[in-house]
Amino acid sequence: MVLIALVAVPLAFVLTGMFTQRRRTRLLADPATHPGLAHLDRASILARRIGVAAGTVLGIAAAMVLPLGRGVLLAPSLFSLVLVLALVATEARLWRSARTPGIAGLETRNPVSYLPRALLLGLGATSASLLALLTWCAAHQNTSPDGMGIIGRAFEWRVLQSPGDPGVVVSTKGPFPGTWYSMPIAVVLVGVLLVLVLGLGLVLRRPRNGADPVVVAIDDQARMRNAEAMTAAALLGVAGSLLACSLLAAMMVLEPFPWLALALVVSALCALLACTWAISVLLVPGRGMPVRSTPASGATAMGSVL
Amino acid sequence: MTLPIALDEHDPTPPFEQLRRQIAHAITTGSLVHGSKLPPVRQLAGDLGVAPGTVARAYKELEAAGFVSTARRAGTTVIGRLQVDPGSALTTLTKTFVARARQLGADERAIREALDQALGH
Repeated sequence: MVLIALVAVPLAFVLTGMFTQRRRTRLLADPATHPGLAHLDRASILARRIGVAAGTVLGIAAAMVLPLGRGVLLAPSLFSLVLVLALVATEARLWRSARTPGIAGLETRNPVSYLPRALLLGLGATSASLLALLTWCAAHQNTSPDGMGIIGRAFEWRVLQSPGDPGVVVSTKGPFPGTWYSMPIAVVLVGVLLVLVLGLGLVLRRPRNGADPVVVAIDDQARMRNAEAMTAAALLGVAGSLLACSLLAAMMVLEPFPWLALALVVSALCALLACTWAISVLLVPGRGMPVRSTPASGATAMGSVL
Repeated sequence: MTLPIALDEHDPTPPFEQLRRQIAHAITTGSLVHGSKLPPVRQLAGDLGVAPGTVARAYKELEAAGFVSTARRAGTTVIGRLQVDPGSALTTLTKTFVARARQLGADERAIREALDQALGH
C-alpha cells in the first residue's frame, strides 16, 4: 500500500497539472451590459467553492461519526452529493434571472452539444466498474454475522482442507466492502445521479438572453461549463467510492487471490485518474477573459475572441 | 448570425402577432431562407418569457399563410420566401404606426403633422 501511495500521489499531482493546463479560457460577461450573465458566472463559481467546502465538512463529519469505517467509504459520495446539489440549486435559482423577457434569437439550439461527452463517458465507465465491484463484493461477503453481529463487512472464501480431504475451511477477513458498506454508498450515488440529470436538464433548457453574438458565445460557454462542473462533481463521487472500495477489497483478497488483488489495484489507479480529472475540472473553471459587446460591432468583437 | 426577436410590451398588438409579423418579415426580406429551421416552441417561449401557446399560435398562423411547414419530427421549417404585396405591407406598417401614436396620446392632427414632418413636407 505504501508503494501504491508513493506512485499514486505524485501521479495524481502530475495528472492534475496536465489537465489544468488544458483548461479553456473562460469568457466573462460585462456586468454593465449583461448583468444577468455576469451574475450567473459569479454565482456558479461561488457555488463550486461553497459546495466543495460544505462537501468536505460533511465528508469529514461522516468519516468521524459513522462507525467501523463506514463514514470513510461514504465520504466521497456525500461530498459529491453536496457539491452537485449546490451547483444545481444555483442553476435553478438563476434560471430566469439570466433572461430579459421579450427578447430572443431565432436559433435552434442543440442541447446535446452542451454535454461534456468525455466526462459523461468517464462517469458511465466508473459507475459500471463500481456496480460490478460492489455486486462481486456482495456475492463474496460473509453469510453469517461476524464477531460484531454484522453481515456484509467481511470477505468469505473457502479452501480445501488438504489435497485428499473433501472438507473445506471457510475463512473470513474484514473490513470488506460488502453490503453493509455498499448499500449506503449506492443509495447516495443514485441520489447524485438523479440530481445530476435534473441539473443537466436545467442547464440545457435555460432561456437565453437575446441574440447578441457576445451573449450567445458567453451563454454557450456558461452552459458547457456548468454542465461540466455538475458531471465532474458526480464523477468525483463515483470514482472516489470506486477508489476506496477497490483498495479495501484489494487488501482483503490479496492473500487468497493475488491476481484479483492486482486487478483491483489497477481499478483503483483508474479511479484515481478519474478523481484527478474531476478535481481539476472543478477547481480550475478556466482563465477569465472579459468580453464587451459594442452595439455596432458585436460580431466583430467576438470574432477577435473566439 | 442569429436573428433577433423583440416583443414590445407597450405595443397594443398581441405578442403572437408581433412574433408572427417579425418572422414573416424575416422570411419576405430573405433573412430567413428556404429550409431554415425555427426554434422549438418551448425554447422560443422560454427565451421570450411568454406562454408556449403564444409561440404555437404564431407558428400556426405562419403555417396557414404558407411561410413555414411543421412536421412532428423535423420541427418548424421555412418553406419559401413569399412575395408580399408592397401595398399590403405598407398598410400594415401604417396601421401599427397609427396605433402606437394613439397609444402615446396623439390625436389625428398630431399624427398627420408627425407624418408630414417625417416625409419632409
